[in-house]
Amino acid sequence: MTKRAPTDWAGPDMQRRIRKRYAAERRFRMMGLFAVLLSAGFLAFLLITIGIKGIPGLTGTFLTGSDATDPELAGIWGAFKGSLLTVGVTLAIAFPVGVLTAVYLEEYAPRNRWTDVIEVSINNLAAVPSIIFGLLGLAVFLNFMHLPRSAPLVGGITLALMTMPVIVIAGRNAVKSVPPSIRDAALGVGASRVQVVFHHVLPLALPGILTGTIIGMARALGETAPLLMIGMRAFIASPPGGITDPATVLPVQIFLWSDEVSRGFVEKTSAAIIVLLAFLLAMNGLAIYLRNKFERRW
Amino acid sequence: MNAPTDPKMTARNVSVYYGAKQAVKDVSIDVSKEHVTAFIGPSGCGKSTFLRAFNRMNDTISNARVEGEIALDGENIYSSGMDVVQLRARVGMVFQKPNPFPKSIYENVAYGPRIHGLAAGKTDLDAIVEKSLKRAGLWEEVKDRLKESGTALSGGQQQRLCIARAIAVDPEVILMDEPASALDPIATAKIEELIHELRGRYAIVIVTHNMQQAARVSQKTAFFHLGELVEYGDTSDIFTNPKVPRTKDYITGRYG
Amino acid sequence: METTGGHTLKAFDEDMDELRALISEMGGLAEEAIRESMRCLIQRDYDGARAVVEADGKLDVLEAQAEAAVVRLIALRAPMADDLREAVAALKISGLVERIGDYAKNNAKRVQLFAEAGRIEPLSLLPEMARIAAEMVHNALDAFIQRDAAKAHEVCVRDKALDDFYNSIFRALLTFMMESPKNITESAHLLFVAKNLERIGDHATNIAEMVYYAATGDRITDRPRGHNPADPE
Repeated sequence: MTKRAPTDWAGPDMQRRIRKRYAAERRFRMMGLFAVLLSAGFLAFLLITIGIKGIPGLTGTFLTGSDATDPELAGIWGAFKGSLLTVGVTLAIAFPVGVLTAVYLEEYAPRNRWTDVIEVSINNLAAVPSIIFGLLGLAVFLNFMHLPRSAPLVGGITLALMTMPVIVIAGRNAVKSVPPSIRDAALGVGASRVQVVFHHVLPLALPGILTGTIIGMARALGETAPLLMIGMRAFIASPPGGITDPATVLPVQIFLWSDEVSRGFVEKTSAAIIVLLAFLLAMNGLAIYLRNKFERRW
Repeated sequence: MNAPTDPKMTARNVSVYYGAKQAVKDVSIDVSKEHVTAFIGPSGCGKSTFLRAFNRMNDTISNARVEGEIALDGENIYSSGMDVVQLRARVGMVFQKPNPFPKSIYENVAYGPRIHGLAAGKTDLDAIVEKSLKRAGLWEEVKDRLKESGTALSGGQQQRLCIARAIAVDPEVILMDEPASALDPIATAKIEELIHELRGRYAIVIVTHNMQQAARVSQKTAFFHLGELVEYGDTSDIFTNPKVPRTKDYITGRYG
Repeated sequence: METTGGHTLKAFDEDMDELRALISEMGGLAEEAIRESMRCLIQRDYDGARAVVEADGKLDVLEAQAEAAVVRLIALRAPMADDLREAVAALKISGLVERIGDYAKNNAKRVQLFAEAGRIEPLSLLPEMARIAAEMVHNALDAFIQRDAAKAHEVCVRDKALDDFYNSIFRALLTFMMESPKNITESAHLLFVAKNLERIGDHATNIAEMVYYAATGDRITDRPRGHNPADPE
């Protein structure tokens, strides 16, 4: 075996390497900082522009009134309530179905051809353009099942179909990340499979599931195209009473107002955007709060 | 084979397959409350797989198949009439890496009795928790902080908590899969002393790759190699005068 | 049961070899002392006898070393099964060999006292007895090194011959003492010499029994013994 010369850690070659290494570290930090500032900058620009245009429009009439032909009287409350009801229906359907699907696929389903097909299908569903879901809603819920047009019920179901794959994917990952030692421990003490899932796996997977739900819900809240397809684009003068009454949602309202010729609606549009963003933030905040509350360290 | 006089569990011609591969080959052995039985052998010899057959934990592995018969008090645990959930309460298990639930210490111990309906009320449950923690030698250290998380304890304490959890459902057999291999020497010694105290009340089987531990803790030792039970006998005989050359090679450090 | 190979930990093998080497060396010295002391007795070699007495000190040193080696082996290597039995046997054997050396030294000391003695008949039997005793020690220690249970058993069997030798010398010396009382002192010393050789044979047998135990884990149960003169005829 040939002898290796002892390494000269203090020599000029090594010094050069050290300098290069430090430079690379600095470069990366700079690039990262620049990227952050760039995105933050765009966001700030957007918020500031909207804010300047919209804040003066956040009057009492605006926040409590419904849509009207006269821009002075137009309010956001109708669309807001419509969004609330729609998202509510979406959540009520997508969350339980999505979570149960995720749990079943991870814990109970055998690993065979069929489950592979299902897995691939669900993953693909998450990437389908939302307008396709709108067409589906139009064809099945409106034309075939004759459900009330432009109601939060139909909008909610359509959005639920769209959101469910996201929850399933997030749910599966969350369930997969629960360490097998916990399951073994529970089984070892004589817990049945159902008990293992509901007493041990789900509580630990909940933070991950909630994260997926937040992402899904935020997307649903901001969707316009599918809701347009099922008719939530008409002019609605009064807020919906229940989920079967005709309604509209915030993004659609923004879209409708932005189309208006009258200048008065420009301000309303920006104000509506602010309301939508505020709604999103509030929802996110609630979900993050819930997630932190349930997060446990193992 | 010098079998114990009244075996709690008996295994007859047990083979375990993972798909096409046979991990345990035609093993027969008796386990009783009078003796702690140790399974020793090199890695991959099938001792852990065989241990898991005793409480049907192999069922959770999809391509595992068990042949032969294992009986608890004479009843075959692989028969269709056996309820696996109840079996696992009667035959408890302690794992290599301490795995307390991410719940409070009290909840960890109370969980088993609760799901099996073993406690009549809160006071009953409190009594069971206290008794189990005392038997596991942990009560004095945690009695003032039962509401704290089980995962906040030290490694040795966590393992004793897991033992208390297994004891809480009043099992007849306790299976231990290398319970001290993740612990420091002092914690290990405490676990070994605990095993010594539990003997006679529960039938204990311990899998260990540490021969000195098997020598310290057990009265009967079974040596496994490549899925076969090579030799079984009194621990003192196995370690002073083993009959089979393979056993001797392993024990004296001539193996490998 | 034959050993199938060396230990995975080579240092363990080295420690065992070191122990065996110590025992071997002790055995060689003891054997030498037996033969030398007998030669000096026959040839009235006082300087030779003094050398034997001094050489015994080396045996004591080696015994202490062997004992320390066994204790270290047990503490550091945690020997099991036949390794453990061999270590325990080595401990006992080192003590036995040291005692054998003491008996040989005792014989050498008595050479002084034969200064003016004339010819004593029974003296001619002793060299043969010493030869057998030395051979027994040699074979017992060979059996230890080779872990040979059969060879150890042969040594035990051979002890009978030594006992028979002792009995005939005993009777011969008694007769001699009665016939020529003026040689009683020397005869008495010769009795002790013969007794020492017989005790050496017994110790060699004990060594062989330990070797048998180390090799097989069992004890030798049947040991043929010569007739004990203390027993009534």
